[in-house]
Amino acid sequence: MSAIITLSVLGILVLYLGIFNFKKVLLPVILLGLTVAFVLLATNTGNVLAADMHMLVFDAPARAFGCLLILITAGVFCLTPGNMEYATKFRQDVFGLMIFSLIGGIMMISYGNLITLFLGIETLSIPLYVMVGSKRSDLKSNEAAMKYFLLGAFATGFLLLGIALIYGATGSFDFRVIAEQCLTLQGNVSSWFEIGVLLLLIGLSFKVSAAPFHFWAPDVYDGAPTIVTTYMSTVVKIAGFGALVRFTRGGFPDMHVFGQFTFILAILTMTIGNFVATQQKSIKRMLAYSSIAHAGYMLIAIHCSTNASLVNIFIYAFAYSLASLVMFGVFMAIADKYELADIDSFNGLSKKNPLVAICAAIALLSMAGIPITAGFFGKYYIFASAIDSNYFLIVIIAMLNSLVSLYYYLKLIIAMFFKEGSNDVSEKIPALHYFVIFGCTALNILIGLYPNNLMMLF
Amino acid sequence: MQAALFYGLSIVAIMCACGVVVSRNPIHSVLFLILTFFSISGHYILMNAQFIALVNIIVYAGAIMVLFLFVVMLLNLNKESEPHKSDLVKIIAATSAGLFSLVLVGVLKGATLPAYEGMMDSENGLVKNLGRVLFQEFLLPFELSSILFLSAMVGAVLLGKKNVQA
Repeated sequence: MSAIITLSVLGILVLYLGIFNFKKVLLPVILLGLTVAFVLLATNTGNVLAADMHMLVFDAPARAFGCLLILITAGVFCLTPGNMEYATKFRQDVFGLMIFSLIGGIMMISYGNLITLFLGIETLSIPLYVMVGSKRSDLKSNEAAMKYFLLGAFATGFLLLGIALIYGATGSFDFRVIAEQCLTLQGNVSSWFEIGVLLLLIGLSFKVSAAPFHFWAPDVYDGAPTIVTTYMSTVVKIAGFGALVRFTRGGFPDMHVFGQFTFILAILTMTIGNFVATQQKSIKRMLAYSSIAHAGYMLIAIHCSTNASLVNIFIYAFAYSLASLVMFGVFMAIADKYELADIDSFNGLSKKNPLVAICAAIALLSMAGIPITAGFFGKYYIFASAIDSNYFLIVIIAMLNSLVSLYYYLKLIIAMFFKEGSNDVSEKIPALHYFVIFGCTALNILIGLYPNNLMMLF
Repeated sequence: MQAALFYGLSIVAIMCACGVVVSRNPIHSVLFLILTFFSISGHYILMNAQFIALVNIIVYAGAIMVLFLFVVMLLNLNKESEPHKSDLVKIIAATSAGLFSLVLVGVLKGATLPAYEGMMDSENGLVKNLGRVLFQEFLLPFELSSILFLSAMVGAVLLGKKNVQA
């Protein structure tokens, strides 16, 4: 709770700093505030305000996911120098919105009540709609914002209808009461409940861009300013999956009823994401489709809902967002200035900037799931626990999909290491940029070497 | 009496909602929407939610609808500028919407209503009781929604400001 209060104050402070023109201290203040919030959340043991009402519950998984959200957001903020030229005059507004959106994310991973889940999703989304459209001179950004807003509002409609039906069947928004009702009724739960849960899952699948609710994702990721795309493909995804896994592990006894739904969703999401990604020329679009594919792998853990699902999704999301931060960081440093940033813009990077090229290669290999990276263990844990509970088919499909994904990840690596690039002067990359790229790569390998240490958080 | 009112209001609400979607003229759509809101307010009153019913009329039928009308008039929508969707898209949309409504009807048809245990009190929906619930049980979400509104306002100003090009 104190973390949420800290972040709210931080957001307002950032807006005021903008008014009084202290733009130099903006970034240090934000990073300091995020650190404070991180520490407060990590050491949070009791609920001060919300204890009785069970509105927000900061249990161990919520703390782990929350700290991850704050960490990744700090990474995104470190990437902002040099990448916010489109918003020099109103940078503080975009920063403030990003912090408010983070608060929504924290609400989404710690809710104990469907009302707070809904509020969290809205608090996450509404600043995002604006951030996506904040590059106002760019028609593509405007289009992306409009698309995201309309489809997002539509998905919220499904979510709300689902919540209303669940309330109608159980008479409560409170998670504990709903689970209790399911237990006492023992399978005689009104069918409103089931359709309500299904609608709620549809609403959440939209947020994590699972196929067939993914159609907005490529256009929005492509049209949004790249810094916002980075935020969306990491923080929003983690928050969405945090909410999903919290819901499916929420103590409802009959969740396997929805196995069919999540099964189809997972397979479609992986397959569509990976196969369409192989066809993309623009790197941003390729990363968008690859993020859809990663949502598919995480949906496997949702599908075979076991006690390990929480920690499996956490590790996967951690690995994926670290790799994403590196990839988007490199992309912004190298290729974002081109009108159509295609794979050729990475040509010859290993000559110009070998260290960065190696980091990017490690990030790509982590996304593909090659050993000694965190991505390998992310995939390994999810697949292993799926096999433990006898879901063979879905794991086989996921393995084949991983092979397909290697194709387009390797295409980038080949471009970086084996193709001749133009010999123009290498760009100056800000120091913070280097910090994010190297820091994330180091963390990535550390997790790959000692994956068990993350398990202790739960 | 209550049942008759309920069915009457429901029929009006559904017909008007269909009218919103079907009518070609955007102004007619908006007017149908106002009627829908009024009949839904009637439902609220049947459920002893007087305050919500009034707020629904004032905020939705009043303020938001006026905004809608303004936008419709300013945009000057007419048939020529309306983008045409291909038949394939129309068929897909109709099929999926039809299937979805089939599922909903199928589920709701066989459902049993859970028994209502609370007392039916005509004072349930008055401001006093609403405030009590809002500031006790739902205090935290109530406060958190302020962040949502603040960010919506900041966003609206950011998007609406003129000449902020860097």
